[in-house]
Amino acid sequence: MMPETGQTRALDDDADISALRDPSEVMALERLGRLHATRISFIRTVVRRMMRDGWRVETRLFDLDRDGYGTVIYRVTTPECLYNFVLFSQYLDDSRRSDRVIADAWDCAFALVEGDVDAAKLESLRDNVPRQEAGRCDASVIVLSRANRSVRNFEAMVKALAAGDQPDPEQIARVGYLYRTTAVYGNGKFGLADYPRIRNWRDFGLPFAAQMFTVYLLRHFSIQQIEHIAHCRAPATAVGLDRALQRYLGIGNSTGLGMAPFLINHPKLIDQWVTMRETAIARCLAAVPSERDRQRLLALLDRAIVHTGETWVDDQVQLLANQALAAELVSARAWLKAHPAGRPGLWRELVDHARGYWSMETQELVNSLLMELYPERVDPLEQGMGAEESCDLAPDMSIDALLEEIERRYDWALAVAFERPDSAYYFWYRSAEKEEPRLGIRGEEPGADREMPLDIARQVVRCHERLCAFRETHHGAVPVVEFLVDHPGMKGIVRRIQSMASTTYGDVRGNLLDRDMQPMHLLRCKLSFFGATRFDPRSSRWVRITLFQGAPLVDEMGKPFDDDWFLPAMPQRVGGVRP
Amino acid sequence: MKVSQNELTGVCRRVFEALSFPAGDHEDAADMVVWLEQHGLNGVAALKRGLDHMASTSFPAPSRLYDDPSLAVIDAADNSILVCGSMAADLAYARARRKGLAMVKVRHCHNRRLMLGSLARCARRGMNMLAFWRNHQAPLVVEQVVSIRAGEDFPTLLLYEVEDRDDACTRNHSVTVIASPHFDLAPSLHPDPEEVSLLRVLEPESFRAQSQRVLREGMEVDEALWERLKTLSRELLVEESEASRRQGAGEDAG
Repeated sequence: MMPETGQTRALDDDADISALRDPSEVMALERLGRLHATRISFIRTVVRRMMRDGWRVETRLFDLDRDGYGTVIYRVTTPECLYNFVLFSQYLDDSRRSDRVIADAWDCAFALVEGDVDAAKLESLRDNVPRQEAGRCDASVIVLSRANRSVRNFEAMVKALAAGDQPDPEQIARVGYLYRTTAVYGNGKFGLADYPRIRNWRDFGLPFAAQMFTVYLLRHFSIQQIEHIAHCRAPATAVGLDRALQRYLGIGNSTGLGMAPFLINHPKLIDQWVTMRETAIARCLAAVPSERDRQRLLALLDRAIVHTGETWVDDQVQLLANQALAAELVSARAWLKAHPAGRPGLWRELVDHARGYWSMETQELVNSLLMELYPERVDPLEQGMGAEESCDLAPDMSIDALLEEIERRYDWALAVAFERPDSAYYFWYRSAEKEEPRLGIRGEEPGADREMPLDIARQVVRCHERLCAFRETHHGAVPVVEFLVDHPGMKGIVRRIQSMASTTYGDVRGNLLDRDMQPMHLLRCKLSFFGATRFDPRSSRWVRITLFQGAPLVDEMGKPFDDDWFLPAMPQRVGGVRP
Repeated sequence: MKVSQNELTGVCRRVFEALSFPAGDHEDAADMVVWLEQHGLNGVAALKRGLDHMASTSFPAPSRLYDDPSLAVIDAADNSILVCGSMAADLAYARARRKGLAMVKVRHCHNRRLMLGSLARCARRGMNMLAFWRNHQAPLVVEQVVSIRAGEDFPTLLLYEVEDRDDACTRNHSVTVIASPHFDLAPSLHPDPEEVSLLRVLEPESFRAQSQRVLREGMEVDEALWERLKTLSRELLVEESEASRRQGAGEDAG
């Protein structure tokens, strides 16, 4: 197995490090909540890997009844290893279908397993996988997940295919998937393989690669399943799903606050993700655009305008943001039409103009589109998305040095006035229901005594106050461990502050307790690194997104591959095709 | 039952947090348990031995009995080394960085083998570390010497049976930690076979092999103990209500 990870920090062979944006801009919570997917988002990376390494997916078992319930196994062969994707599909009453993590039954449950699956293994998986959190898996299982049908799409698409028609593309544009995952577990959860075990694998060594590939296989299953049901219902008339529509079909995901603590609890990983993204942007801005590059960006802007126009959301805030985005993309197109190629600094002028005149949503999409122009500058950075996450205390650091570090890097936290009640309005807690992270109002709801330590700004302020008081009675050269012996409760935040010294973008710069804080920004940030599109907030703390829309199909693996499927446009309506 | 490293780490962190370990210390204590278990030395069993005591009393903070620049003596007040082991290692590390050599003694502590993870952490940051203690494991007194070189991941552990059953080290339930960046504190076999008999030697390679095996196969944990840990960890959870179910998680939040 070939280790490919371990490349950390920025890879600045051709981009000036000073060209990277300042963390005060990039890590502001509102901007993180406007990020879009990029070429180095995890679904893009795993698709490149499977396409270029020529992975093979074969159906080993397709044992579904006429309603699509039963067991399916796909055997996945890569140059490195053999895996099996094992899925159990079952009847679920509409009244039990819930996207919440507290649900206890789903339309289908599935796992990605290393190695062969014999009869005994299959029975063990059948006993445990459908139970999800209530079951146990062993270390041969890499990913465990479940999904619910999109009620809106599923029956309508089956009906259309059974009648010999193709589904209306606009229906897929409105809800871009047949299944929506509600949790995708990896890294040792419920007995699964620990991430350190697979970290050096070529196939799944990069963060979330195994999880994203598992979701991709669910997409393949969803297509096979509706074709199967349609054929069982009407063998004489049923048709297969048109290939353009297959490609246009993604997989949904429904996410609540459970995703938010990850961004705070994995600062070194987040630093690496953002550093790679910012490095990619800087590399692209440094390019001298040719006329071909300029034409390509114009085409990408056209596609983005169409894609945005074909994105339906109910949330009024997101709706207005999308409308502004569409209008500003038209302005971006006009700006680019008026600026000839061939001179250095054109892309820098474009992003400066965006910063001056357009919304953050547009600014960040322009960055994502620029990255599409230069695969050779951007794609190698995917190898830097992993991080060694251990945070060590530096017990010998002096009190003076630690205070200096806090005042230099945490001005944003020290500026928060925590004497204002609104600055600590919320508290984060874990619910007894499946340990789901939730947000409560301090003084009104129970649980503040068991608050989760996501209050980095407040911890920094408290630590700073106590360090200053300690320095009054001790010498500033005293090592910090002496302070910690007297103030043991400060160890966690001191260790974090020290560990962040080697990072640029590790800390989300926002007070997560503030009354005006929007948790949605945290969810969207992480989802953008996954490669999510079509952000569809269902509330301020709950969002649905789409993954893999436009991605190549399973039977295209190993064939010539044009890695150009970002922000797909709706296919034209087509007639029926016999399977 | 088999559990993963990540699961054990997570549940231990929550257990120690629920037991009122200070922020930061609960992660260190969890790492100490997991390190020992991951390397085949029964960290979970060691935790089990200390759990009754930790769960039944509100334990006092460790106190410094003696302190000068090269020697600190800490009283753990009859608690598990989980309560102050990482702090003792960090104190030795910080002082050795400044003075070239430091010694920290922790008295009245139990489950001292759990120190190994903290020593390994300090060694990874460039410090030679050594720890020494004696256990009265009737009818034996077992002397344990652990040493790890600066920059290395795995220690050497030597276990001897000794005759002396009434020395201060054994009576005090103490552990001595020595740190120096200057010289390698690799253990040598005891020179006098008349006084001690070697029970066991664990070389760095066996620690490495064990950790690889655990990554492949997971860790075996007693099911009843696992349930107990889960129960303890649930004390951090906030009971659900219809309001929290709808508003708190966001399904119906505005």
